[in-house]
Amino acid sequence: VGQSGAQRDPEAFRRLYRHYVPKVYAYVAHRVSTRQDAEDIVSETFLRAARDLYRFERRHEASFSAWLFRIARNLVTDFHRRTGRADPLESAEQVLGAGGIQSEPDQLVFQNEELTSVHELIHRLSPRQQEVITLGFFGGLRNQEIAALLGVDERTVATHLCRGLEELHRQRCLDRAKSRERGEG
Amino acid sequence: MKDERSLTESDRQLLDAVDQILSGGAFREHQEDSLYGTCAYLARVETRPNDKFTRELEDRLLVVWEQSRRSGKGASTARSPVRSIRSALAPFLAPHGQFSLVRGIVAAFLAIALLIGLAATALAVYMKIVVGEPSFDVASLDEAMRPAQFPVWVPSQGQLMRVYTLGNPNGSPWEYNIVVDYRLQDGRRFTVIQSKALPEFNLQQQYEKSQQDDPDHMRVLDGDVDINRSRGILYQIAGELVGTPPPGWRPWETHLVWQSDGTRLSLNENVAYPLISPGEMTAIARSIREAKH
Repeated sequence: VGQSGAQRDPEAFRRLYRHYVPKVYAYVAHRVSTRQDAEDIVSETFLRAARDLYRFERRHEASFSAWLFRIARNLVTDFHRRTGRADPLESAEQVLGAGGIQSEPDQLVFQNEELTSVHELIHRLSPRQQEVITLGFFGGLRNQEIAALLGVDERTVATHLCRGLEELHRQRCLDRAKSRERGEG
Repeated sequence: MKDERSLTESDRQLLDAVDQILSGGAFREHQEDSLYGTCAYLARVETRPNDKFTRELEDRLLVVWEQSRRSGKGASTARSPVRSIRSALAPFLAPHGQFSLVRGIVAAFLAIALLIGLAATALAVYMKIVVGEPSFDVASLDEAMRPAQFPVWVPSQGQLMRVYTLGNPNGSPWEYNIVVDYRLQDGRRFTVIQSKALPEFNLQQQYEKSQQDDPDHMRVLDGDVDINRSRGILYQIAGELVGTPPPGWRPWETHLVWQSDGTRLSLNENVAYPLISPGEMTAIARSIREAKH
């Protein structure tokens, strides 16, 4: 999916959009609290990208995806600055719940729980760890692209990724242990 | 506690595993309770947008894309003739900027055609602009959509190179621009592109934002600004700014935009922008007359 074709051809632009919208949505959804906020930010991200796409070639970006995620990330940052609110964990399922999961009903419950659990786990990490993990795992960016996006070197990204994953794993083990205790009790 | 930048052997193994997992492999090879199992679990999670939302957004985007494509072509042509010529010649240049023989001949023919075209265009433009007086007086620029006030660093005398329009005056605001090219006495030149402001980007609206660390210098009207301070230079600047670019700002990296009271004015070209206060910018924007198409 090339951005240069998408600058001239609407069909190429459509393909570009369809390729990236799940990734950008997944990244944004894990950075905000409600589905509505996620949709607003994703909409604004792509509207700006559509409007500024013709200027993309003049920039010194690592890649098109890095440019696109830069817009999304700045909007997420603005959103948090503007609202000044933390992400309420209990509303995670509003973001990640019904609507997008193409599964059988019995799987849907499982999927919702799983998504909510991941959202909660991520929000227990430091902001920078959250950023690196969501950009890598949900946005599909490589460490090099994340480094360019965050203005740090690749080694720092790798370190944040490792520490973040270790912490996330530790939290997940604790949750599972608590869950087992409740089940046994 | 581990140093933030230190990478151990187990870190490298973890990074390799993450690469492997994210590239679509090895999901089931790791124990669920292991660290690698958690990575696989994380990669397995799929968060999808609502189909209705995706479809509706796509429809909106195609409209915006079309508008932007039209105005973007015009704006980029007007913004930097030097770069336009360079990019037009790019297909004829060898990787290191050398002309190849065949491509050079083709380029020569095209250059002649270009010169003929430019001569014809210049003649047409000459017929359109005020004839006989090559210099202009800022205070007398009272035509529609021209600012009555300029930044203080613009000298009162200069040469009006040309005035032309881009796009359809009956189209959306983005589709119609009046472009005024000036050459200053010291040889610098700048372009003023004037159009109607989009209401949602009006200065008085919520889209006006300020950078926390430097509110007087980085008032962001639209788009995003990202400055990599760690390298000591400014780059990766996107969007449009209202305010004074910091020292070291290269003019081709962005352009300044004033937008107020239904009018939009953008300045670009090879002028190094000196200090402009927000109050002065607002006064300039408000001095622009309403367009009379």
